[in-house]
Amino acid sequence: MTTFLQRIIDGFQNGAIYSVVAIPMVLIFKATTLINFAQGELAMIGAFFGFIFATQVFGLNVWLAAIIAMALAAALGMGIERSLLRPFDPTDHLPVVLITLGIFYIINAVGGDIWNYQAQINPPNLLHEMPDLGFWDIGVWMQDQTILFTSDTNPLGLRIQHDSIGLILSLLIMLGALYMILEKTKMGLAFRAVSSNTESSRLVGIRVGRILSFGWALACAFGALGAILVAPRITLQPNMMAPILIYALAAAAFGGLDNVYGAALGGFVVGLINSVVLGYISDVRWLRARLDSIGIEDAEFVEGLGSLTAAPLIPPVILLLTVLWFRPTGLFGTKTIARV
Amino acid sequence: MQFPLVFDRDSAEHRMYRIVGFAALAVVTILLWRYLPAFQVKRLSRTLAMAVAILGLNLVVGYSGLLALCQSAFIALGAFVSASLIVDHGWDYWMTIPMALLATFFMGVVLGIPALKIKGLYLAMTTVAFAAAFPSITKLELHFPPSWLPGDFWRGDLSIAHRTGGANGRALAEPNGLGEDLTVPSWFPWFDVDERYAFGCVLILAVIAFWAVGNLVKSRPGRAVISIRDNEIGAAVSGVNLRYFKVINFGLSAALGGLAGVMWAMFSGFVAEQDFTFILMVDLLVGLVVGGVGTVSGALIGAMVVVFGRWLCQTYFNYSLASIALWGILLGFAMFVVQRLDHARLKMVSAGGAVLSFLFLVLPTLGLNVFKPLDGLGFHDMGGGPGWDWSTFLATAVFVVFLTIFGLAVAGATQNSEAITRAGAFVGIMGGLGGLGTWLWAQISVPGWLWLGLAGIALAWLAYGAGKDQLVAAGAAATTALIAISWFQAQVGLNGWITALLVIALVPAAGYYAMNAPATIRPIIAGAGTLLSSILIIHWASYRSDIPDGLYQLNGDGPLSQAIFGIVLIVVVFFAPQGIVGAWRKSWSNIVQIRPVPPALPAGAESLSVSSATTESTEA
Repeated sequence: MTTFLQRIIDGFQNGAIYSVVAIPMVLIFKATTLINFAQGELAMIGAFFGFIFATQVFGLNVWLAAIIAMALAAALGMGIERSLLRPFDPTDHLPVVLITLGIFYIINAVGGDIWNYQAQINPPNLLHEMPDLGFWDIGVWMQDQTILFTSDTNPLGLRIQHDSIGLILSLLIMLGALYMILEKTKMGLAFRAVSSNTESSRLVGIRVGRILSFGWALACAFGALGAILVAPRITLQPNMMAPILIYALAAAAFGGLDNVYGAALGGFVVGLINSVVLGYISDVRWLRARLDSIGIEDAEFVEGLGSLTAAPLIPPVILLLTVLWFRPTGLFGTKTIARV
Repeated sequence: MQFPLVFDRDSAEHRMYRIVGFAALAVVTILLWRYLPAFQVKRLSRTLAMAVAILGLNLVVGYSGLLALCQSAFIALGAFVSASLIVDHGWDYWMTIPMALLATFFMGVVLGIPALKIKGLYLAMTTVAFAAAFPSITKLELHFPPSWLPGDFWRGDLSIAHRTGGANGRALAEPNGLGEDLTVPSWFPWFDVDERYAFGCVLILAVIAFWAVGNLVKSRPGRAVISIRDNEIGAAVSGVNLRYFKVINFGLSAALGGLAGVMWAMFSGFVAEQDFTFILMVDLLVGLVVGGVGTVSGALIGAMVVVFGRWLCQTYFNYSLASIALWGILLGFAMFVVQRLDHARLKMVSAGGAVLSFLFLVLPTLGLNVFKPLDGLGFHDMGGGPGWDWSTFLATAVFVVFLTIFGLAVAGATQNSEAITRAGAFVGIMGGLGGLGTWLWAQISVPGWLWLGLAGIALAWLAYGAGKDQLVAAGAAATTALIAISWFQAQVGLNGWITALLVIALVPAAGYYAMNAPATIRPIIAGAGTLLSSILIIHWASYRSDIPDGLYQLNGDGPLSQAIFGIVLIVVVFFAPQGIVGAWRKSWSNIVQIRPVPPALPAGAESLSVSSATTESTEA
């Protein structure tokens, strides 16, 4: 039971990372109806902006560096949308897919050239630098709260990483902020109008171009913040988002490409499936007992299944295929109806 | 002779034209095959394998319009099937070809069936995920074929990881029972087995594949597939069986990938999962787009660009970041000038370009190696095999190019034709100022911040001309303010929260001021802001000890060639979506046109007037 709970917790810990990349991807799909294959790399470069300002060069306060990084990432996203993607018809998929793949390539290569594909030591950790408000030192308070769970001798005997509670909480806060922006502000209303029907929103006087830029800026800022948050856990290096991109694609498709909250849920589902399925399959003793009980006594087969841990990308691909086979627009996505 | 030459389709002239074309291609191929150094012949073989793979990708992406981006997985499957059958089971190369084709065709059909339901971008992301996951599948320890399968034909009882070699890869050069070297098939025992021989084997397969696909896309099934791309519902209404054609097309595309995999195993003698990652997939896409989506010959041209382009990038491209920026600015400047100035002024510009390009391009290559711009251009240590002097060859080629630049600039200055003057001015600016800049570069090691700052000033000036100077000035001012505050904070050790307040207050204020400054001051703000911020950036960003003097050198292999491929992809999609073949056809149609001939009418039917009308318009 403890093992099972542990795997559930691991799943949530990893799922938060996948959600953090999947949500901006969905925001961008809502704005410009394209899948941004460069989303992981944009988030990566955002994390590196934060790293530069916080540690490497300027030595700013970590939170200030994060704000600057978000602003820079937002500017970068707006620039890419305005200059490279606006001229194309989003219903013609090939050019926009190629453009985003090209951006992926360029950012990855430039990052790799500057930082040599090496993991940076001491990436900025927002959760370790919580502000002291005078009457309430949030950092110390969080230490006190999490020490209960992070030690190995907590009542349940579970391992919970110190940062992951903060990460999941920050993800929820970010989702809340996103909800406020999208549902309660005028800009958010315009954004939803544009993503639901571009032509009609143009007719009622919404400046569609600005809204598209706004969507990209929002997504990139969100992605940068998320990447800064997860960087201490998955090491800060130019390839950090390459495997996560696949999980994030699965998460986004699971929830439907045009549903932000679905993507957040999808991230957790992908994380859970990965940690539970791979966890049990690679547990050779457990697997052998189960297979014995149904009459399969093939030691080699069991060992072979155990090697699935070397291929952690297979479960998300199978999930992707299964979900899209039964629901071609994801679980919560808007169905599209073709007209003759 | 009157151009364009107009041939009727399938007339005797058209046949002759095609025969001459193919003969020229064959002669070029044979010359390259015979006279290129061996390592380049291996690259040619790689080109052919890539070309067949791109051809397969083209069948799905170009002809049926489905975004299936997992061709690299099919190449891997074909290569591994072939390698495993040869090494583990002692099969001969030709026997593995049908097996690899069958395996990849089957896998293509299996993946094609979900593709019937998964549409558009969802299909793209599914196949991208599959292509990314495939290399890790090859590391599984699962037995294949599984031992519970009846029969023991080609059993071997081996795991997937053993068959593919896992992370180590599989070398095919292991000697078989007879002690023969299995690197390449021993089909023609009277030849020496080497890279040239492997190229011959690969060439045969490639010619068959191109011939087959070239005919397929013109046949009835091929037209059915194209009709699905153009209008799916319309095709269904016209009686095209959508499911059947989509799935079979998917399978055929995968089978071509498998054939490419077999070719890969043949010429390289080594297959490993690291070769078939998503990077290969993007390379294939670059080849597809550069060559031309939906063209058969584009696959070959795209593959050549990809393979030899990557090699050129890795070997000879040793520019610094600042000099790339310089060339970009120069290009923008030249285009700007050519568009803005009138004919008389363009002539003067051409004359200046001619003088500069003579001084800094032609003179040095004539042997008066005073300025040594060639060192700056990166043509150093050309290498090459025995009996092949690359440096002489390239120096001659460079000289010819430089002479052409000079000649065009002179023609632009002296001729009255508007088009020639424009071309001459453009080339003269690029060549003359580029040569001058390169020379300056070689003389004084210009610090990086100066180049960045100059780039900013030039950008500001271009923006001023284009009426976007408000934006550039605001951006430059805001960036300068941001970096200045950061610098101040780092020097004084300011409290982070005060710094944050300063940033929030001052950065937008600076941007706002710059945006609303008088029009004459804005370019100055933009230029000075960029210069100042680039000094600050380079000064504090020189944390890398290996940056000499703040001059940021790009590394030739690996990341740089990847970045260049990304840029090429974007630029081609942006400016030339029809690809090289499309552009070539367009310009070649000024010289030769093939006129379609309507099918012969039944006896007694009246000829339609439409056909005569088309003839007239073609001739006009």
